[in-house]
Amino acid sequence: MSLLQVEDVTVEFGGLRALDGVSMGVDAGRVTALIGPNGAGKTTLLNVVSGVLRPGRGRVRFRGRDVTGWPQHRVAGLGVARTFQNLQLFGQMTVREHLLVGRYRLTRTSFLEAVLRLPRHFREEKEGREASDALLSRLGLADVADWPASALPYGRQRLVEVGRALASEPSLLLLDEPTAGLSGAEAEEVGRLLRRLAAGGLAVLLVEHHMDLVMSYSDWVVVLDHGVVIAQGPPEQVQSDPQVIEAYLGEEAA
Amino acid sequence: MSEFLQFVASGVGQGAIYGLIGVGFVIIYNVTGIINFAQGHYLMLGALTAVTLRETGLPAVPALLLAIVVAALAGLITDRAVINPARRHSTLTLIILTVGVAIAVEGLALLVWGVNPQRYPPFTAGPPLFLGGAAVSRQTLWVLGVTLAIALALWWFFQRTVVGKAMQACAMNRDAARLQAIDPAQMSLYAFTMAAAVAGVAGVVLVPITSAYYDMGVPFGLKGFTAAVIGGLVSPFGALAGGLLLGVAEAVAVGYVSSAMAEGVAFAVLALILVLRPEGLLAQVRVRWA
Amino acid sequence: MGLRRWGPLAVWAGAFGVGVLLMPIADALPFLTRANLVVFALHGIAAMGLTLVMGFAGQVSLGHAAFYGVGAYTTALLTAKVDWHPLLAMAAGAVIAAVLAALLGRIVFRLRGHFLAMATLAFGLVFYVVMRSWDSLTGGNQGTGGIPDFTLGPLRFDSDTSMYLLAWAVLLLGLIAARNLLSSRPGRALVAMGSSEVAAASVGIDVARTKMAVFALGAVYASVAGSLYAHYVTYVSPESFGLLPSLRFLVISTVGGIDSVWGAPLGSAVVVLLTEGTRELVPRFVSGATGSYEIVAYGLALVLVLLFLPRGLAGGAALLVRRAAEWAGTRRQPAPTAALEEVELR
Repeated sequence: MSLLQVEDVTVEFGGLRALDGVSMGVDAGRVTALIGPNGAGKTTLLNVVSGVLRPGRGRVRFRGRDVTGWPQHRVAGLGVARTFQNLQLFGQMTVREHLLVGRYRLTRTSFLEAVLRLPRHFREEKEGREASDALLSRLGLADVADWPASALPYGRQRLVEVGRALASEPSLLLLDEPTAGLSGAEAEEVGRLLRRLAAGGLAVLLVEHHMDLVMSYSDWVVVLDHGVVIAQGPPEQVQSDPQVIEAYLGEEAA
Repeated sequence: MSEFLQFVASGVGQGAIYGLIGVGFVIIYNVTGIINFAQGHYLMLGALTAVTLRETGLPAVPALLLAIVVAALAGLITDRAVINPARRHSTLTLIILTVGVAIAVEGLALLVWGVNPQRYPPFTAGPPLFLGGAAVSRQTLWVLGVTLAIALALWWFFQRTVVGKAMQACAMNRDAARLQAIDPAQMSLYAFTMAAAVAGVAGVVLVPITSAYYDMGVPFGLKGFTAAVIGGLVSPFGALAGGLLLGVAEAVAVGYVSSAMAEGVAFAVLALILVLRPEGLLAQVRVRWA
Repeated sequence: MGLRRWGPLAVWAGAFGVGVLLMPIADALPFLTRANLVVFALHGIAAMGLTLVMGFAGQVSLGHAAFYGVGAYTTALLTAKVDWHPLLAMAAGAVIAAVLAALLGRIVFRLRGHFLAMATLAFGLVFYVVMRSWDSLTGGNQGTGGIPDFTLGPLRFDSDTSMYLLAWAVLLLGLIAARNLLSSRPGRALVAMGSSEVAAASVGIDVARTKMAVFALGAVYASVAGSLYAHYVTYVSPESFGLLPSLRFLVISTVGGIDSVWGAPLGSAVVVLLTEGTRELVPRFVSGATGSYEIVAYGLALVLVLLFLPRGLAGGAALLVRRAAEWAGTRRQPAPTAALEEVELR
């Protein structure tokens, strides 16, 4: 049974159906790509899974548990992490601090313990430091660890966001167009990173527009068009699906 | 019943004033997204200036008109000198800026006019009229008349003039408006100037009733805001209706409870609405701007 | 190892020393008194709470003086009427303020931007009106008096100087607490929330709860300051907790800089100087001027700072320090100048 199961999810905005009876699953150890023309509802689906939106109908199950309509922070607490299409970094925070705050769900220090500097604070700070240092090296961000994230070039900012998501040691990683605005080489890097993560057991669901990336790095592809799943399967199969081609051609013609 | 009617009569004048201030809040908010904390202070400026001008011997009509112009100018200056340069800043900054303007204007008023309330005689002398058993002062009738005139003028402005329609467009969708070559900065200028002018008018018709004092900006501003919120902050006419409701509620509270609580009524109403129904009581009656 | 251990202690001892040094400076300036120093310190403490709320959680509060009042009135009633120990009364005030803030926060934080600001303003005023009208409890407009001096064991704080040093020490404790908080897990959550609520929620931060918590914390700062104030003036009335005091705290926080905990004491110093300065100077230019016309200075300061120095004085100072460090070549590379984004109101 899949780590993440989306069952017949429908989301309506006013009269518009952003998602219509969408069903799909994401397995651990696999990279699942969500593709489709603009406005197909991909980000909406991510928002439903991560708790930003509540579906009008349908269920979302994580490890078999019904998490439909759970608020974001509770879903995150289960081990679901995400990045955002429009990059949501934290203002003046350094890169290291981003990774440290990413560990929020793994730590417990309270306001009082922090202010009074009780032992738990020191213990968790030490653990946090070690973990984030390791992650920084893994992502190649060690050299800019103490820079404000907002001062980095765009490509590395995206990497920081991924780092923040990974810092929480999630079992499901949701990425919304992680390669947007990246050069070909940078996008390749991301693809390789995702494969490494999946190989380590992580379930990855990403919304992506870079077709070659999708074909090279994903194990499973779900195609969305106007809120409906029109195809899903291994990349090569989906690539040659006539409905998919039509949906994309239709977009190109438009 | 006649007692209640009396409360209505007493409260409706104040209520119209709150409504007029509320109109300004609505216009500025809808066109620029800003809540202008200094709104009530334009009323104060209009009121105090009217008194001073009259003391210089100027006849009533020019004095009052000039006072309104002064208030409108204050709105214009607020926009040009403070709001426009800070246009790119965050909402938090803009809020605090309007607070700063309000404080500065109040301080200036204190320096110029001092602490004592300034008095102005009613526009027409004479005893109150009795309508349906309730005593209505003549000045209150002036207030209501002027308010009605302004309401009509606003209706005409937003319905019939290009600028008015442009402002409405801005209110509905700022980005789309920009695409139609409507300049938000200019709309903002009009909005502030208009809002201040209307508040100035309110100040000028109010001063014979309550006198003018340097720190009347805040209480009137707050009540004006309450009026606007009651109307859902969507329409100037909603604000006017909200103001009337608030004025009557206040009069009732004063009559039945105590005058000390009167001030508290508006604040409590505001707090309650924001908490329970931020979209306003009259949101159902979503009156369009015209 | 020894020096590192004692390092922080030395820093804070030095900071206390700075406070002590302010006394002869105040004495030297003709328009300042030690009483002004007490006000400076107390308002600094209260404003620090507001800075945490506004600067790090991005929430506006225009009714902060209400919590100042809660502390003052609680202390007044418990020490004068029921003979509680000042520390206990202060603690009680802090608890009440925290609870009120949590409740209020719960209700009000659903609102956005201006509405939040207006709601805090409205609630602050409701509090003021209630305090004014509840004669039996608070003495209404007349207020309530007979508050004993603050005592700590054998120490009795009954002079301007002793109250000032006490307040300054409390202010430093407040600074330490704030810094401890900000460089910790919950503190990072605060900053994250102030930057991007949705991203904060995505890492597991319960935004609603955190907002309530920081609002309560800010209220505690104000309440503690209010309690000390009550002991200082020995008599409290509603005037000290209305709109103008709330605005004053707003000015202090903003002018000082809402991004830094040092902003509050800095802003408080500036506001005291402005207040006393205008009180001194204005009568010379405008004859017969009476009343609290220092509010002109407040308003101008607020507007000018926001237009030209949005990060406040502390921010400006930080910028200067960074530029100086660059210039002195203590950085290996030119320091990346972070984008000057304002704290966004969510």
